[in-house]
Amino acid sequence: MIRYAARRLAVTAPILLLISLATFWAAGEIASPAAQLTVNPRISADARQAYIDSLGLEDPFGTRYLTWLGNFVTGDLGTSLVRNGQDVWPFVESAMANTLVLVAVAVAFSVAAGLTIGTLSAIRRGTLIDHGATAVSFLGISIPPFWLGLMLQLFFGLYLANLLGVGPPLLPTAGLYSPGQQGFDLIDRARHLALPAMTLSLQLVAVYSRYMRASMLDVMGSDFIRTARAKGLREPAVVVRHGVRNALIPVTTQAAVDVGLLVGGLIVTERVFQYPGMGLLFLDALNAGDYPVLLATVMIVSAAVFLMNLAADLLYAVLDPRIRRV
Amino acid sequence: MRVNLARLSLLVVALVAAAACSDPADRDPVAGDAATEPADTATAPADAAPDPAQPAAERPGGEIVLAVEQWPECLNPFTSCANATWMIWSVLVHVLPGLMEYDINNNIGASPVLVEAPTVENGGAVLNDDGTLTITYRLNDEARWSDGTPITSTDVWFTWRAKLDTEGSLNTIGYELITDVDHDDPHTAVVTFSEPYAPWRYLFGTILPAHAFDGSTDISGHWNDSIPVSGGPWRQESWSQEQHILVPNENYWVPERMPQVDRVVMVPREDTDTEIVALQTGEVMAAFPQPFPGAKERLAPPLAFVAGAGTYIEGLWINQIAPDRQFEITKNLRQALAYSLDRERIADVALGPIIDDPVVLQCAGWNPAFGDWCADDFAHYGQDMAKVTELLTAEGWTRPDPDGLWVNADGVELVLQWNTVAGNKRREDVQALVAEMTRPFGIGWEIINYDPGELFQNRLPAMNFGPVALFANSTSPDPTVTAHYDINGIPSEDNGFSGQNFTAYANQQASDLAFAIDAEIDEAARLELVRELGTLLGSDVPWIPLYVLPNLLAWNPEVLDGPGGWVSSVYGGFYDMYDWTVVG
Repeated sequence: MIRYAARRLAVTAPILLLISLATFWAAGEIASPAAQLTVNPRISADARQAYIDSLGLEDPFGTRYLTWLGNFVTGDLGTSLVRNGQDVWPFVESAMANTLVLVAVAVAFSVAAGLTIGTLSAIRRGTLIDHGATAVSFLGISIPPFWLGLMLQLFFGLYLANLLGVGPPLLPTAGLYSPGQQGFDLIDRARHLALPAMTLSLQLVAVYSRYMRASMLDVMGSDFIRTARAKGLREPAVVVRHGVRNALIPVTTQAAVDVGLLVGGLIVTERVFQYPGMGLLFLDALNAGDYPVLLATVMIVSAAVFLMNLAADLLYAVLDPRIRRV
Repeated sequence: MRVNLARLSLLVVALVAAAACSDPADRDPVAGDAATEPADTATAPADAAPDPAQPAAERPGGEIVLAVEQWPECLNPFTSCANATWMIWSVLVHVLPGLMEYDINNNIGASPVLVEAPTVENGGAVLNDDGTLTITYRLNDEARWSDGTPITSTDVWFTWRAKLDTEGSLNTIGYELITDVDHDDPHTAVVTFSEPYAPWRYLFGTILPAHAFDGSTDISGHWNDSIPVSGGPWRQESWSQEQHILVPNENYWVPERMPQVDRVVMVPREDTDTEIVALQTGEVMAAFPQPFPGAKERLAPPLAFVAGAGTYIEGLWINQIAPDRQFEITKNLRQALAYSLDRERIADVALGPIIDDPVVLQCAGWNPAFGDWCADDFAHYGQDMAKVTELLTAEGWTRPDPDGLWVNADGVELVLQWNTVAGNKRREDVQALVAEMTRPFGIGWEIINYDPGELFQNRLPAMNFGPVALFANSTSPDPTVTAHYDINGIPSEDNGFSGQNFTAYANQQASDLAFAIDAEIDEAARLELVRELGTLLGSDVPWIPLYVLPNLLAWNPEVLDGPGGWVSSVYGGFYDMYDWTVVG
């Protein structure tokens, strides 16, 4: 296992370097700091030159990249261009914390709901439950998050409240807390998480339920399940102890890989719900041409996605020893 | 800034719990920065504070919640933080005073900080024999900061120095011409310019409390996330990336501008759809959204809205040195293009879904909402086949097929590349309409649109667009248009692609007129120069003005009373929220 992990890690380092190189190049193309300087003619020539020197914009690409990489790996993310020279890290730290909360809630809900629906669908194969779950899953996979987010806002914020004749919206449609909230309030925070987490998780619920259904159908046809039944085990025990447990192996690893899929949805979801996480920070940096913040967000998210994939590989090797020999 | 790597590795686990349990007040930067800010509130003379203009007990009270469409990244009033319009609309105009200010019709006059506006007549504005200009500001004895410290000429002097000395100061134009601010008399600030400078009224739109800084006039490290001392009707209670809370400044000295409510909470709602949903659900009481298609339907009762002329003008900007041009973009060609357009129909298509009776813009650089600067320089342009034919045939263009495109002597068809922002429905609708509209006139288009970053940050500054681009540009109440028509302001390699003459309009007479407008302090003479330049622009057609983008102010009248009056103000629609009251 250790050799396998070492092999995987050895491959990871150069790929992360490639990601960083591509990120550095792409961020420079999208939000060229040099181009941004030319937009504001009121910046004096001295100030412009000082800025160019500070970012090393006149250095060769390789030099700039290595300087940035050196700073990045030692934790120096630089200073923001539009936040009055403030350090980038506190903004990234705060956004990362908010995003982790959102992702954790969304993934936990997705796994729980997806596995339950998938299992039910498999053990009730061909029934109305199975067909219904299949139809809803395909619908869930097809709905884009930006549209779903707006629909959820209207439904929970407006229509349902009107239908029930209550004043305020049943669930808040945006933000981290209610306007004016000054202290921590778990209920308020949870209510504000509900809609973005729902938006983010719908596709995952649909995907996990399909994986789980397929995996369960595969497992439930295995010899050891017949053996378990032949031994006289009750059906719920067969399903839970032997069926679900074994079916979870491929689904668990897939779940780790799919966390990366959340990134695209995160940007849209955080924007729609004004949720101050990495997606919103990325969009703000992109719109403002804040090159250091853009670089930091893209690099951290890219690395996180890549590391999740690595974790999935290692997890799979732990769960299925045959993989280590490949 | 360095991050401890061990700490970073622990974050994946720890931050989930940390963020879930964190208190928004813990992240309140106002409280967090108190130790580092030199705000000298403790030393303010307590007995210097006047009685509140309207005691809290007399206020109707309540709380107003407002949606803000672009959240400021930071609050320093002089650095890049102030580059965002919403920084002015949501923060600065409510807490920091200026010497001069705009009224509801965007005319400039004395703010409550002054006893009166300096004029030539009252001796406040004097053009000296040595060519210098002296402006004398007489300060109001009652004017004071929220901590009770009087607003004095030292604050004016400090503001001038801070504008020039602050690293990364966003705008030093005009302040560089000041040679001295005499502040010997606390109630009189005498500002001397090295040469005549007509837009002097627009300087010192924000003044800073000198006593709130540690003596340094470089304020770049200050006020990133709080403005601890106020000189406006409101003072900041807190500001963060999630909300901005304002409460009445009890030391404000203008009774008619004392806030009627106890608190205003502003929250970011950067997506227009989300912003409108928040208004519909009652989560916010008012919003100042950018114009959007379907506004009339989505803001229908029980909501209310008003529309007025905004500060942005939109038109077809013609890049005469576009790298992709197939032929010279001559004056005749530009005029022919103007004669092929029905601009009233274009304005209807662009703004009809938003407001009733949109107005066509008839001048190239000024805004009809500001003063009398905008004349009918372009009113003579309308669809005219005879004019198009005359102008193009004079330059050798022919139209072999009467239903086809014009062709030049090299056999190149009259097809212009046209760029705008991809996904902007209003602009894409205009493109579709114009493409159809100009076809009978023998003018074709190659439409290539880009995302905003690519167009405005990469292509526009490098003059790598067009020859035609459709976008909006901001206007100011002062008639200065030098940035657009300065012959030396055409972005090029030679000047490091600086400047804002994005049409590459190289007319020395126009450039000289633009500079002359900046130097003329007599308003009547200035208007004549503006008219002269306007006529020249109407003839040369460096760009084709289309319409003024409207401002929208929407609110829920069932819960809020008062909004609407300042919808066209450069201060934004929330400016007069001191007058607003909560219903019920």
